[in-house]
Amino acid sequence: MEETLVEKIIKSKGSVRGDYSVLDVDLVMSHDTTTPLAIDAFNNFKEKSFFEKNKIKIFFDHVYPSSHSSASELHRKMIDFAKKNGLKTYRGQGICHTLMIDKYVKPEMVVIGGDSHTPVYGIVSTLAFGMGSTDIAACWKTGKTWIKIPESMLIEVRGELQKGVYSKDIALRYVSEIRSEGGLNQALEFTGNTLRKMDKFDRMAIGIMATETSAQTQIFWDENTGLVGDKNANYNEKFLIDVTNLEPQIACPHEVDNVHSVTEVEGIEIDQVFVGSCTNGNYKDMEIVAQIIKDNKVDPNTRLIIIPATRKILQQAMKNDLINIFLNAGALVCYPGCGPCLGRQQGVLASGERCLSTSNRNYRGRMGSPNAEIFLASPAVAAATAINGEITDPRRYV
Amino acid sequence: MGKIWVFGDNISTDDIIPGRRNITSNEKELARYVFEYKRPEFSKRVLEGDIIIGGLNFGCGSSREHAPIAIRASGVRNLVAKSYATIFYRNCINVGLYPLILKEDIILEENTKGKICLDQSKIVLEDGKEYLLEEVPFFIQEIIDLGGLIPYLNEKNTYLI
Repeated sequence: MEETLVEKIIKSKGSVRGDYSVLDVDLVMSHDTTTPLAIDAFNNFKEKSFFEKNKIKIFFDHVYPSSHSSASELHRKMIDFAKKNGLKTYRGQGICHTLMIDKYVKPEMVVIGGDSHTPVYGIVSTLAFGMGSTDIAACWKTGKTWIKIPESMLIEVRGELQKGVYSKDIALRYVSEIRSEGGLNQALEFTGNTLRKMDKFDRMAIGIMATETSAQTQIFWDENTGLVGDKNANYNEKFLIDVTNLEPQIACPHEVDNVHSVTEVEGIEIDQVFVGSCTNGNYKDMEIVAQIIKDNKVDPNTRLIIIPATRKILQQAMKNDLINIFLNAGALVCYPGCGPCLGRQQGVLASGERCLSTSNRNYRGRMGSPNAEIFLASPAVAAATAINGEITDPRRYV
Repeated sequence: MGKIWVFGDNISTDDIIPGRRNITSNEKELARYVFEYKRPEFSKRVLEGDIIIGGLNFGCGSSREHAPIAIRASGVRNLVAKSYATIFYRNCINVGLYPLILKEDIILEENTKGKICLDQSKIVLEDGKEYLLEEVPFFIQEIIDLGGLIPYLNEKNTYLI
């Protein structure tokens, strides 16, 4: 029988019964928002043991260093738990997903993570699922998890991107076609010549945004290693996205699938611009912003906040003088981590404020006040917008 | 019968409990802020045995387990929706909440009351109207009835699917 790539990996890594599967898990990830509850759940086990300690990865990135004493207490709880049990933690090194993709996840692995954007690991043909804290605790002990086997949708991305258009624009485009609930409980499988040429960090924006279609997971085919779905496998739906004439895209408040071409909303005044997050905090994103912003100044009525995703990216940006370019232009550069994406630190929005962010969610209240507005776009749109204090098409700068 | 609280499509975990409130795992504290923006009166008026009815993709967004914990701490034991976000659905099971799925469209007036008949997979409203729910798979029922995933694994040691 012909199979999707997701079905192939599930069969090789677990047992299948009907619509369900129990999988052997290669890595278990969690961070400072989801680990504290996982510890509480774990402490309810009668026998407190770990399946393999070196397969457990615990990151401090969501609110680190802490901005509030109650978050500090949770950090303390994590540090004490890790010390007592001999578990390794990654503190202050940057965002979990970027670090996992840089160093730990490999093709054909099964990974679960206490974070909804965990499926991003599929960009290197890993099968990854986001889960809650109790599932993480259960996997710490058993090394296994159960899933309902998802049906797959196939998305082929084809064509050459124009100047000033990036992977984030492809991501917003397909989200607006599938819609925010269109991928519910499904797996998105990606293929096509546009994606094959992209490196894994460029792919991150595309992989991250799959979660915003409500998909259970996403995975990129790898034709070089034969990690592909069969041609006549049972795909629920097939999308072909030709990006040849794609313009810079923007998701407008308050839904991620409320997507327009930037040209349609140019001129809207913006109070805060955020460049960073797991979606667009990579080195190349820093370079794109630096290219646009050098020899320019941030509009005096706009805050530009730039946060490289990891310490390594920050160091690279320092070495190549990008940080000086940012600071000279008037940007606020903060320490690697999730930043203001989740509305707890480093740029929490006031009522009535408008933010243009390179992150992944524009729900009401996501970045602070429920009466703030969030637009999502690429780092290029962000940089051009910061210069003018209003939404700006970046193509006039590149 | 409990009061039915009606919500629309795509209720996110941010709607259920805003991200900035997740700096605690204290259940009572979380219950104070449940639906803080979406339904500010909810946390003050909700009573034990009330039912939440949502639309499509209930619980979308972040994987935070604070969301079902906040709902459970508010006294609600049964959720009903047209469909759930995958992670939220699991999280409900794992903390011992029933995430029930409607099999048919439901028409609700304001301030309706109702009760869930799990054994017959249906919801009964105070005016006598009944609506069918999807049957909960046996192993999922077992997890919920044992009080969640950890008590289940304490008893079974592994997933008996």
